[in-house]
Amino acid sequence: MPSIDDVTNTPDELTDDDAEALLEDADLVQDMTGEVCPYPQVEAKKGLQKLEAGELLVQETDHVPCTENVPRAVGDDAEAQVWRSGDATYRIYLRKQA
Amino acid sequence: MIEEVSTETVRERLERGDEFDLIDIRENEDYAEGHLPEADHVTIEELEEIVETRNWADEVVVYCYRGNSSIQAARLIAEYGDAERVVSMAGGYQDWEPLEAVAAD
Repeated sequence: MPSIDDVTNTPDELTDDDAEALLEDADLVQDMTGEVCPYPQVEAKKGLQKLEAGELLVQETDHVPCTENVPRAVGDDAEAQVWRSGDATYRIYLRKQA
Repeated sequence: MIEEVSTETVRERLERGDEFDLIDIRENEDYAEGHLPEADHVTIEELEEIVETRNWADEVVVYCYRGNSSIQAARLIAEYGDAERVVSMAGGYQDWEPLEAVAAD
């Protein structure tokens, strides 16, 4: 069956191990499960405002378009990576830039 | 690359009675609260199921809340559906003004 995943342009993907290690080091974690755009984009921007350069925001989501739209929304404010659980959930890792 | 069209363009096409599929991918309750005239409600999950089998109009306009997720949904239809042209409504439902409100101006 076609999947929205097939047509969503996500940033670089993290391995399972890297995703777990980074999650433990995250400075802020936002659970956006069940939320759809644009709310997660707004929260990501607000979350990054609370962080210092180099700190990490992780968003958990089950809305695939967010994996493209959230990184695009924060633009140059953060370097983005994505992890796919393989079970319809995703994490977006946003490292705040200077 | 999915082309984006303005709410004004969509409004003009509706008023002209142009033939096209208008697809609202927002959540059930938000569609129930209000939607564009003649818009079909098809969530992304439903879209994945029917995109290959639906008989799409030559042109399809997709909208969501702000015009973000509709880009991916439009890509899905463009990739797997039989429409000739699929576009996303920029600004989404948030930028849409009801026809009556505009007519009253």
